[in-house]
Amino acid sequence: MSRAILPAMMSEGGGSIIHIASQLGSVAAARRAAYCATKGALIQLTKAMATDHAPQNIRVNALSPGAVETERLIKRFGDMDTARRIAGPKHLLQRLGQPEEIARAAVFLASDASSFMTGADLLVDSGYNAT
Amino acid sequence: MAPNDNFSLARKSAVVPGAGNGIGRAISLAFAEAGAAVACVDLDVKSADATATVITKKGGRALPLQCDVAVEADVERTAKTIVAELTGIRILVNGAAGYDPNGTVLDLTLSEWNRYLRSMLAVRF
Repeated sequence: MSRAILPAMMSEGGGSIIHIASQLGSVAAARRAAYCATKGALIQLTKAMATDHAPQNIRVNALSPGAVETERLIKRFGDMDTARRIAGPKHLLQRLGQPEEIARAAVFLASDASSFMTGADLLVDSGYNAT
Repeated sequence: MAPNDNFSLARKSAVVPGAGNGIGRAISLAFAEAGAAVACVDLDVKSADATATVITKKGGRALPLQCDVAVEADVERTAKTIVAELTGIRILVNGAAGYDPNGTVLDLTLSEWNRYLRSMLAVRF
């Protein structure tokens, strides 16, 4: 989608691209080879695109959530209670995230509040990667 | 300028693939709340419609669109519509993704690996 939207953004004089990556883009988890590989690639793609498009005033950042209560998690764990019990304690705040908690960080990255940020990976993971 | 003015997305348009559910839905709603017009893109047009309806009911501007972001022609058609319908396109959230297969490299077949790489990386291209 970046390739299709970038020209419009360039003609506007700039913009913000956000790649939704993951805390597993920078640390590994068992039996998640494909996921970890692609999320890591996304974080590197973020840095490469930030480098290429800074001259056009386009900021490119990754946003890396921890485990968030979505249907994807139900698919993985069978039900949300099981997801909370198994994945919750892996986060320092001992719980899963809510989609709205990730959305607030996305507003930050999309807005002028983050005007000096590009090429970054913003971890919103309840400290999953801190330990 | 009030401190929170920096967080405003007024007079901007955002493109959000995967807007029909989960994090993409929450981002679409938050962007609209911050003042952006939102192109709510999803493979499942019903879910894109549902997100867009929430936005418009609150007085925001939303454009629901069906698109398979892994298919180049679909992406080009969708982008063309967005550019024709919305002004001030300054935000893109690359979030839509397929479901990843569990497993070590011994468990995965090459075709599973390639399929997932396509669903995770080609859609960002």
